[in-house]
Amino acid sequence: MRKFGFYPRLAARSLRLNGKFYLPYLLSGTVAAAMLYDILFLNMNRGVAQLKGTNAVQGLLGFGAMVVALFSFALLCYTNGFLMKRRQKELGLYNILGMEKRHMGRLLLWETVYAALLCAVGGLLLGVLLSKLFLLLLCAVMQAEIPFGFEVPRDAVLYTAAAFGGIFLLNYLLNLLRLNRVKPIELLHGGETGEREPKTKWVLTLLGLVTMGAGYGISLTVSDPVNALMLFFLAVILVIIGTYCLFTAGSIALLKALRKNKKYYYRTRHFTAVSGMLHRMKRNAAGLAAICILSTMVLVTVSTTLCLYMGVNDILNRMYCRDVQTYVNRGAPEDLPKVKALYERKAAELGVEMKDFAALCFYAPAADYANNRTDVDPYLERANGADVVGDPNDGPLRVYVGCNLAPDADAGLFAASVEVGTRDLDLSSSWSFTDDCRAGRTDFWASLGGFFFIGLFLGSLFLMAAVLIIYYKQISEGYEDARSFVIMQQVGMTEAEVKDSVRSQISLVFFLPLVAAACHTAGAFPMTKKILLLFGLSNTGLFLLCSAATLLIFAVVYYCIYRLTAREYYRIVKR
Amino acid sequence: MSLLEVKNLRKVYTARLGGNGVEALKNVSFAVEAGEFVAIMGESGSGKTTLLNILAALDRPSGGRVLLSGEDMAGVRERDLTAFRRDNLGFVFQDFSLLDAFTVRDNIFLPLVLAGKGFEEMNARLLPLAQALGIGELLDKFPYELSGGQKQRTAVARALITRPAILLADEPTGALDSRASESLLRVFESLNEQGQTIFMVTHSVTAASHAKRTLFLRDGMIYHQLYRGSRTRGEMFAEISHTLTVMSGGENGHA
Repeated sequence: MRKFGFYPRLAARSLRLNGKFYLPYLLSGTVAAAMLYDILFLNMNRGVAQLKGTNAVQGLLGFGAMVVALFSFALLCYTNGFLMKRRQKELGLYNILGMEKRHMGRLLLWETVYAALLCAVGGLLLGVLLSKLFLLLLCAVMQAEIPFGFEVPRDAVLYTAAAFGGIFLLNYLLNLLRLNRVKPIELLHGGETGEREPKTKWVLTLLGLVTMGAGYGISLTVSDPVNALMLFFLAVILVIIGTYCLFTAGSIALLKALRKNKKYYYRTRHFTAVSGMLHRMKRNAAGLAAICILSTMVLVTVSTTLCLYMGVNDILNRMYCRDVQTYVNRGAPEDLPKVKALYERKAAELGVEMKDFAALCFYAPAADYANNRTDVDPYLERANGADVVGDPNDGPLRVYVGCNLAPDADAGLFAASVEVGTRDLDLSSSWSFTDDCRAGRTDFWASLGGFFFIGLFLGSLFLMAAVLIIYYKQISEGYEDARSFVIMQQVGMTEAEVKDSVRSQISLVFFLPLVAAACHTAGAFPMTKKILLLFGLSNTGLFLLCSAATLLIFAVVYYCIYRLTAREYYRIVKR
Repeated sequence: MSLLEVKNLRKVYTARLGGNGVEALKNVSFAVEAGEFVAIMGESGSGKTTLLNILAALDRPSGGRVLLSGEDMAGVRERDLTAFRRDNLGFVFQDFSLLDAFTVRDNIFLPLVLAGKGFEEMNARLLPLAQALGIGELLDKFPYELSGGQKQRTAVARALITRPAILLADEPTGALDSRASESLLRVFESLNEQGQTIFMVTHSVTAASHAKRTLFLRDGMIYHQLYRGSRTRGEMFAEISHTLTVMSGGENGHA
């Protein structure tokens, strides 16, 4: 045996032979690498940096890159663990044939090297190809001009290669650890041992109910937006824990209860489905919970960012209903004429014509302070010629003055000179400011467009992960169930009944996470609605519509995945 | 009329890419009367499995006919075959073929659930059967908690709960130790005494010596047959061994 050449060739062969399992792993690794490169590319691209209002967006992109990297790590570790479990028998056979563990280590090393090279190189190529497309997409949603040129930032390439190199190195070390822990006989029988029926776990069920209840409780009771933002991640973590516990323990309790009901249980359709699910629930539950959580992440991320994006005009009309606006917080009625006069003076000095001039004193209800200044009607639109709106008992007084300018007039210059002017006015409040709302609008479009982009980007990453987990679940269960279906056909199950029973089992398993994800999204609704208030969006109808549309599209995509993987499952079971 | 009649059965396997076909069964004819316990012996490659698969309606013959209670099995439509098999034939396999996900009770219930029977009826059928097979205490256990003999008796119970005309057993003692084999064969004998027709394919001389009649299959043909008659099991064992020795000697058939 030649020292060099044997293991590389054996590794290549085993990758090829296990193609059905390895291909999705390599594919998702490649796509994850491409996505990491692209988000880093956008973060480092000089063209993007020069766009207006991209400071916030670049911060977001940096954050997004971190999420992509961490998430890729979790996803590839999970998939790798699954693959190793499936290959125990093959490795056991090598072991019996005289391959020592260190030789197997070498085999695994080569496999890892191939996988890492394929994913990193393929991912970078794909990423470079797609980078311009993503750039166009980002500019489109930010309503920004598209920068010329094509670049491949060196750092983006390096970071991506380093991140994926690290991920695969870690996977390799984990595999070595796994290899060292098992005995050859276990390797040979791996994944075949008769599994005990799970016990009903009341403590876990209770824990699940408590954490889930607490998570939903926070969402339903939180009163103001700032608290909502702070408590959001706590609620998310509680619901994730609750989902895991309830899928693990709750489903077992539920299935056992179903089995107790003789009339229900002893039907062709339910008989095999209930017992089959109960049998594998222990392993199944974690996968189902992961699918559920990923689906929820897709739904919440996409629906909120979509809603923000769709509601930009809403927000802008509230925040910036004139081209230039001045706002005096806790002012006095005497301030109003001073600011009015300042506007007229500056307009004359700069030679610009004021249009739609509006000014008023507004007694803001205390509740408006608790929320956000943008979470109320556009005050200026209420003026209608009146100087004072509201009742002094309602709350503190705010002074608003604003006007539109001719399209060719310099709103920035006008706003700046008014801003300087207010400092000499001796107003009753020291907190006042003047906005150039035209610039404000551009910035806002840019940052909300960036949000939407990141939402879609991460949403598709989560979706890919969910698809991958579903695929692996289906094929591994197909191989497990093939024997059972042969037996059932021997005992007298027709092919049609087999199909029916498979459908009943798969669809239960499949749509449980979807329904749970829809519930979670609905449960998060009150909280995300309050968080959207921070961005100035109060249009609940729009948010409902966006959530419903996202859910609908997601359900369609999910159904397609279901059909595709169910077909794969049939093929394995039928043989 | 015999319960099972096999007339001039032929089965040819053709290679997918042309070439010569392999004739697994050449010209097999025999009859099984109601209440018989028939064993069929032969080396691997003699056509045992092919024969059993055709009797089980899992495979179609290339020529000849199989009649069950006078009804030609070739006349049963493809989609009715499963129900036909379920209602007329009970199967016991070498590897038990129990489902890990089901308790012993549910494994036995499986064919009845598939036939759409209600729980009360299934339970009424199960209890006497489980007592007779000595698995009454094990009904709530799972297959992995059972010994080989207990698993095979569970499989027998599953085969019998539909009250089939014939119990087809494929190497039922193949995976059992000698004590468990002995106990299972006693079960077969006592079932047969109560009137159950049994057709068993086996390698084991011991197993065959429990049957009332033994057919010997060689190269796709019935080579010989032995009736137990009034012989003791020991005598039968010797007789079968002798026949096998002669058969492997390569003499031509004299059935």
